[in-house]
Amino acid sequence: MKDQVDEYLTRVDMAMWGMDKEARKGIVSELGTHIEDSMADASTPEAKEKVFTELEAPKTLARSYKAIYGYGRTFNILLIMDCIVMGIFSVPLLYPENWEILASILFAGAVAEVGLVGYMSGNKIGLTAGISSAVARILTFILIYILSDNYILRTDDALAFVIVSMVLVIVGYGMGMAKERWQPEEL
Amino acid sequence: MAKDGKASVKSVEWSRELKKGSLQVCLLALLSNGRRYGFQIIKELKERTNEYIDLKEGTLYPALHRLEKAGLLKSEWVTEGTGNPRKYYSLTPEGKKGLKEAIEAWETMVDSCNNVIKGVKL
Repeated sequence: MKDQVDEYLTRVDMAMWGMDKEARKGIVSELGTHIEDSMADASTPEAKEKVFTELEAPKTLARSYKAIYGYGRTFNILLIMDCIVMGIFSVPLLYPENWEILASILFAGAVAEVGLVGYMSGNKIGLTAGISSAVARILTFILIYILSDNYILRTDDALAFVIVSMVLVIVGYGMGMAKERWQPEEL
Repeated sequence: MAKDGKASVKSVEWSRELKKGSLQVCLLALLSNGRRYGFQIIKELKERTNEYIDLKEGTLYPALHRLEKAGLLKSEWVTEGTGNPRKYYSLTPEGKKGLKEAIEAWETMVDSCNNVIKGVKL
């Protein structure tokens, strides 16, 4: 039975992947002590078995805790960095003329990723990811323009580029807000 | 309650909704009597409610963590003897204030609902 409990606790810990390490450790320890107390309180082997079979599914449990604590700082930083990289590679000037479709695909990917970050980590992190990605995109655009002699910057093109980049900010914040608003209150 | 003695599906649903709404108050009320750890809370709630509230760990612990994050509870790890450390929860001053408000709201709700329910003829 101890092996089964250990395996269950490992599965709970794994399901909480991305959350703060200390928070996960505390949750697993608390759960472990609870199972131990429940087992000690159960008088028959059947009652002990029942304690184990009635435990909450690791994924359900992890979902409840994620809704409370969100993802950990390290995980969020990694997500934001990924959004920055996606933002940089979605600048059309990086690609030859005929390859602009690739920039569009990568921009769609960046929008999807920023939206996902907002959904997973909430509106603040989503907003940070969106701003970081948009700023990285705009800075890359400016840098390429400064370093290259091939491009003639037109005001309307630059303005359109900045406006399109703002989609990242709106989606990042919007997805976080949408999740907060529509997520059912748990307790 | 259904004729065969078993609670009907609807009855279970009503109970679940009512329990959901009263869980926070019950947890705060229980912890106003002193610090307790999760397993103790489950047992005491079960005993004091004649088994009406029989919480599962998957409901209790996230609820305690949520109340702690809201600043209504605080927790500390305590090791007794040679056993594993246990996480004890207790009310914060904010929690005591919250409990007072919750009890007032609860009493108002129960009184108000009773005024309506008492007049029902089935």
